[in-house]
Amino acid sequence: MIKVENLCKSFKIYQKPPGLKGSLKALFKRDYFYKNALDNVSLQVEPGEILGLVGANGAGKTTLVKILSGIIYPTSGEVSVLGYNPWKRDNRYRKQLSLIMGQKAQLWWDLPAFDSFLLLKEIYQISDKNFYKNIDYLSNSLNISHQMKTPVRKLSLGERMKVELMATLLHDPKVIFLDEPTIGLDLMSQRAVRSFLAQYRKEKNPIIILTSHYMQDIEELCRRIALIKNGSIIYDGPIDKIHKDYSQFQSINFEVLDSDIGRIQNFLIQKFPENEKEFIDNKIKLRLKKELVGEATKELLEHFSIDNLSINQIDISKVIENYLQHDQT
Amino acid sequence: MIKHNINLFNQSFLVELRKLLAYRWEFWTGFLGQTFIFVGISYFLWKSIFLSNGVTEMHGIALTDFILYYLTAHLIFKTMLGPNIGFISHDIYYGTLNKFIVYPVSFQFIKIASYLAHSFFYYAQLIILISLHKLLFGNSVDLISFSLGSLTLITASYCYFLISASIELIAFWAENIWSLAILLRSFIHIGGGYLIPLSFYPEKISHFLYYTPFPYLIYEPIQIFRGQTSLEHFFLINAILLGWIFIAYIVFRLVWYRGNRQFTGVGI
Ligand SMILES: Nc1ncnc2c1ncn2[C@@H]1O[C@H](COP(=O)(O)OP(=O)(O)OP(=O)(O)O)[C@@H](O)[C@H]1O
Ligand SMILES: [Mg+2]
Repeated sequence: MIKVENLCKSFKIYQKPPGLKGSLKALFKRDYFYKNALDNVSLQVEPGEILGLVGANGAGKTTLVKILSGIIYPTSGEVSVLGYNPWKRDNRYRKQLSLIMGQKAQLWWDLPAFDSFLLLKEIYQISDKNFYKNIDYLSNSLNISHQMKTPVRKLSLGERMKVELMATLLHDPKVIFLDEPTIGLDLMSQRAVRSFLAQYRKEKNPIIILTSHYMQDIEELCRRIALIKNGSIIYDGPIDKIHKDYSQFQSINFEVLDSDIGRIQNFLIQKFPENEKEFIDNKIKLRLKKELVGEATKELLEHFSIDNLSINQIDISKVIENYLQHDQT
Repeated sequence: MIKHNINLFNQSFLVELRKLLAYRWEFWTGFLGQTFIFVGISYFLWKSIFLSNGVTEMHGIALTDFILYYLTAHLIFKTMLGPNIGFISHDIYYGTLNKFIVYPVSFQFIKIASYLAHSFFYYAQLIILISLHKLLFGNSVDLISFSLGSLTLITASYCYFLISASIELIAFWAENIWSLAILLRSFIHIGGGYLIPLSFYPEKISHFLYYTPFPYLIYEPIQIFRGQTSLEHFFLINAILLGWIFIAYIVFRLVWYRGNRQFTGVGI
């Protein structure tokens, strides 16, 4: 179980005025300010649960993960993971922990993945039996068994991510922090990693905290999400609930003649001043309450020559984007 | 527990050695190039000094002895140095330290194992070149001196590891530790007798130097290798080295602990 209470973390950031004069001045005295990366965060994750952590760039996701895995010390607040205090760095805790940072390679760059695995085997004291069993299981489910002997630097990004995943799961961790495990991957590799994680979770049932900027990862893997904005949690609950709040909306998508672009913009702005709209060239998107959609469509068809009309549910990434933008807390 | 540590040590050592051997060039240039150039240049410099002074021996060292002196000096230095500058600071600057913090083993332990892989690499060169020297000149290192020298080299290397590691850890605060690391090497070059044997120094200076760790890291091990000292002296030197190890260890732990308190794990 993960328990976080009133967690705060501020970074001291040094500033250097631009120019030579600034550099000289900085030799003697450096100006700094404090940046609150986490501001009074509290949350709880139950055994076997997977929590999706979502927020804009710089919101504080990675900072939270770093504290939970004991890499950095918090400024204040309480944390307990599996009953341990992460930054005490107890070996009993670290043996059950696993961390992936999508942008950071963990494996030894010049060596084949398998050589790194052998070292990890000793680091985590994995028995021969479990080691080979896990290698088999992981390399087959990730479909990467043919690349075990290739130096990591010669692998593609997707292949590298797969062996990184293997490396972090060899010791059957009880808590897994996945910080953007699908970043930079093509759609197929993303899907492969995602379905692997779903399957892995079903079989081993660890606690997982997942951050990703790809909503599909979150939607498929997490039942519960925490939205984080400027270091504070602004929503924590089932993903369905946040979706439902917004599912009373639909979006109308259509195209108009090039000559009508100016006219329709004015029309929509007058007619639906409050509603969100998007103009890309002659392609237009309008977001409306469900019950107004019929009427609006009729009106549009009356006044304009409309092509490729479609009416869609608003997808989850849009919902979350709206939530993060409009929430004032 | 002990078995686990041995296995862990072996694997970390092997991983590093495999990495090293992936760059074969390093081996051959380090082996032939650097050593021969350094020994050659030093020898010919001394030769001209000997000739212009019309002597055959200075401060107890004959001209031909200088070959062995610089050969051992260079190889001891290399063995002791281990990996390049950046072997810890690089982890701090680029965030690879994160993974070591998450692993359930001591960071220092893994680093020493990989450090020793580098030392081993140069120690192998030391054995080859000293054997070669013996083959060519006959009058060279004998087996006992070689064993005592090698033991001293182990203590000296651990001492140097702790000193250089503490300097690498300054990367927690400073944006660059390169110049500090170079400074340390210069102290060893000059204060350790790598460039000029300490017996050539003015009394006062060499007396002062013996209050620093440097003579014990290079000059004394060279003397032991060359069979210039007694068994008692060997024990004395190693005892002093242990004292320095004790001090360096405390400093290392302190810097490591303080640094981690304010490590930010590097952005992203
Ligand atoms: N090492 C650091 N030193 C100073 N400030 C930092 C450091 N790491 C993060 N920050 C600041 O803390 C804030 C939160 O950063 P964090 O990396 O947690 O964001 P994030 O949610 O992971 O963003 P992203 O989606 O871009 O990865 C940012 O404003 C960042 O500038
Ligand atoms: Mg991040």
